Amino acid sequence: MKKIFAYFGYVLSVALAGALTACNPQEAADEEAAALSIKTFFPAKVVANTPMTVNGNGLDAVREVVFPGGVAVSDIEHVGDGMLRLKAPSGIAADGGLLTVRTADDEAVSRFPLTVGDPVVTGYSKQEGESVEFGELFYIYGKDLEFLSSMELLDADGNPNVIPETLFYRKGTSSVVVKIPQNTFEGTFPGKVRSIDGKTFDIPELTYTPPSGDGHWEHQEVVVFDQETVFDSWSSTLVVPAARFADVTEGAVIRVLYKDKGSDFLPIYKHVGSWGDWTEFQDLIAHGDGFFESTVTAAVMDELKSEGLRFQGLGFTVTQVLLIQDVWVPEEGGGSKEETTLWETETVFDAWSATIVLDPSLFAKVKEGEIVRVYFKDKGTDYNPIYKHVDSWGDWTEFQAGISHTDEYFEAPIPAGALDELQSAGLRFQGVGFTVTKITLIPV
Amino acid sequence: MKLDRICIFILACLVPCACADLDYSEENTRDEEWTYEYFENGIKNMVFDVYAQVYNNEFDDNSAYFLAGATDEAQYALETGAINNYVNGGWSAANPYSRTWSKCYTAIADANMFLEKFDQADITEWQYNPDYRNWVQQLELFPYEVRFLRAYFYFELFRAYGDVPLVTTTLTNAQANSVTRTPVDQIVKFIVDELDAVAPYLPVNYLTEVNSEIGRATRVAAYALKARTLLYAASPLFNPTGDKSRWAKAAEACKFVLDNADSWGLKLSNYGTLWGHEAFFNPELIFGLGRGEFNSFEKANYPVGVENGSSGNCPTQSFVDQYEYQDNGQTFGQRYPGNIDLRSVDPYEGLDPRFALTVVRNGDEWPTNGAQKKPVEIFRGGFNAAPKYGATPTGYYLKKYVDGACVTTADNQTTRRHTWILFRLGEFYLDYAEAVFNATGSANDATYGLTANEAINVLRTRPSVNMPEFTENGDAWVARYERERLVELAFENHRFWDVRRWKKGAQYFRTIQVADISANLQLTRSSVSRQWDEKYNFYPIPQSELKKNPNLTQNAGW
Repeated sequence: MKKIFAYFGYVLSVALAGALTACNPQEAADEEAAALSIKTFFPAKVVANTPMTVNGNGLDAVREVVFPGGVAVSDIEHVGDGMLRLKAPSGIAADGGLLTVRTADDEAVSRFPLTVGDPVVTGYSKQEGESVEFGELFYIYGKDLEFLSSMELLDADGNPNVIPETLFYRKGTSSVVVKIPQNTFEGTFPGKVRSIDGKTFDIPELTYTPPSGDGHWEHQEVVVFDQETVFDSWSSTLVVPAARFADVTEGAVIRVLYKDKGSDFLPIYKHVGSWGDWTEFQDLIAHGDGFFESTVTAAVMDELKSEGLRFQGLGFTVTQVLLIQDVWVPEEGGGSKEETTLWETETVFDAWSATIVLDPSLFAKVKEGEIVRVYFKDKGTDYNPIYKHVDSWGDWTEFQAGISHTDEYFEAPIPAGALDELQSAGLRFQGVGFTVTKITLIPV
Repeated sequence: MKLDRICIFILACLVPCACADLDYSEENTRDEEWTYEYFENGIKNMVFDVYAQVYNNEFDDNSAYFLAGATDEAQYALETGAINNYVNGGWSAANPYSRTWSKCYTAIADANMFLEKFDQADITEWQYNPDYRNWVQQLELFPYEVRFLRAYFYFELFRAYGDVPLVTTTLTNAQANSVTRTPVDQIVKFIVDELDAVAPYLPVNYLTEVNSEIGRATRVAAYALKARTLLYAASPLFNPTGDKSRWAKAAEACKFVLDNADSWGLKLSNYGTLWGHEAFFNPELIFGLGRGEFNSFEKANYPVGVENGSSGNCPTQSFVDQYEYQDNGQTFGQRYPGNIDLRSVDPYEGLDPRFALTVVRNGDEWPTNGAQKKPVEIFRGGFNAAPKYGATPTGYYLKKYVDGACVTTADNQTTRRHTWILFRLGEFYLDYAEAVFNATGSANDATYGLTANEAINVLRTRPSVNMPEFTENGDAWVARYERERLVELAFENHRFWDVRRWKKGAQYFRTIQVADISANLQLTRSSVSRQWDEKYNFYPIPQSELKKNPNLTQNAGW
């Protein structure tokens, strides 16, 4: 009996020993978490001068960050205990490696490696000798393009015009999109693209032009396929023949209207011949209420015109396929003299608070010298119309200098140098002593 | 003896094993590895988790986050309304009412976790999936979106609490319960630096992105948040020395938004289209929260007497007094400072057109849907007025944000989409005007390319408003600007914060005026006192947080 108690005591002491020596996992985690560490850094791929953040613990004591290849950076901004800001140095080992943070008496290494980027431009949406219009989207293709920091063209006066990354239309790893500014120099010249690490890439000589010519733009929605087609299995397909795309232009939208959307909805733009996914279209696919669409890029133009376009997919019934584009319609006989109406709402100018603002889109295709004419009635003795800047409300003296008056209208030609502002901000009218009935644009 | 040895052997085995992780977790398919290898339901959902915290339940019934009722904009019809806690003395650290602290730090923790583990994201196994390329494109943007959101939540925190802990990494419980508050200037710098870092990588809009998932963080939203953050940081509450360079920074940031608005596709819109079914697609919207179709907001704010209407947020007479007349810029309050005989005069005739789009007054046909449309009767004994329980205590009902097309009858109810505005272009003309006025000391200084008056006049002369221009300067300008800001941004949750950052709570929030319309249409004004204390400029740090973390200090006065 005595031994039974003794044995029971042994067993109890074994259990107690186990319990008392067991680690508290929370305590262990806390200790580990409080130690100097790098939890992440961003971006994981860098080139020289890339702004970086390093996140972790105990970072307020960090004196330097050591990059692969042994390059140390001590110009560090401490953002609290958990974050550092710094710029990636030059001379990082090309094959990358782990990042190290060092305090006076400790160091920690990242869990995952830093890699080194190498921005390379492989092409542009326009080739040497081609034209590009102001306001057009210009594509730069390549790899590691997230490191592109600026593009350089010439401004209207022929001076360098640096377009910073903040004004890029879209910045991605494999492509960057830039909208050509309206104040670009009209002519043929090469441009440059620069990356954050100082690399420069030449843009071929292109002819930069305002979107003009004798004629007018028409927004067209042309039905290129008009047969209800059920996509209920992977054997379902429809092909829009190449002939339907004979007049397609870059930037056009191919919109597919559908009904009966299913839970397995999956539409795919495909090559006609190979039935392979047409990735250039798929990359740009967008979905709306009752339709999906994609944009025609330079890369697809030739094949679209020669082969046409296939659709495959599941979970919808196509009702129509539309080709949507703005088409430049040349005028017959060397240009139209017809007036285009810009404004047709009767507006009383009986106080200085009265104003009309014409949207810049109305001036997208205008040319210098064209006449902006304002028809009015109820001319008062205090008649005083003024062309004004939209943003500043200041008198637009260049317009005012050319103003002429009749009993039915006043008008002024679009002065030299006014195009950019007209196309970006529009035109304001202010004044007293008349009632505007219509505003028109008269081509020269 | 043999048993002794067995026991010693067991002891010897157990001691080294004691540190083994004996935690048992049942196998499930959605573990961490799964999360980072599956796009739609894994990685993307983690991003959604962060986005989900942006919505503050502003459209919910009796929402304490539709803040108008805690300002001079409105009085919540029912005394039991949660929003009344801000103004009836019941607000304290123990009853903080707001969940701003917890929801922001929840979102920030989610963001930090996402960013720390993003390197594990690997969807290459899905490369033959038709959506693979789309996923890769979206994946490229996620870290930038999440960093934008983290900056957004720090904005919410600093405007509410001032100094707050700056947490940029995941924390253990022990670490989380020992963080200290970071000075507000450092929080502002963090927000601005983060936004500058991520903005160039965010798309201008998502219409040309994969799946056109509009509503996600854009470059425009990043620059808008930067501009508003700098405006707040320059304001008296956060800038006690009146450092003009802060106003200058705010002016530059606002001007950047205005200068690029057109190329970003932003346009000032018709005022009445800023809310309603299609508002999510409004070209003035910079960042908004699109909600699904519902009519609970209408039920909460339709007048009592309209089937299922509960009156909700009722515009005050103080608010109505701020509207100007189109003919000479005089305000309602200036023209009719006393009681009004509504039988002999229509005081609402000729008011700023934004009034009729924002406020329902006696005689308006409301709601607009055919099933319920009829003139509202907001006079004593009227169909939509006292003595009915829950009728408006102010003489008015809310129209802005309320979609009159929603049918709330017992049968055949209809629902509509709603969009809560977080940033819109119109705000930045006002933000710019305020910043440039304070930076230059004049409403007519064109140092930044556009004077304060010119900026405001852009808003006031847009076709749907067309009000007399600003020409004032000095104190008169400040007074008129504050009115204009209240009118333009009414019920968009700006007033609550604007008055605090101006440190003018005692001026605007201590007493409000409401109207009572008698059966013979006499509008009588009366004053309502509300609780206001300077400590209200900041929220109290929740007592529950202070108890957990001895390093946290309370805001002054709480």
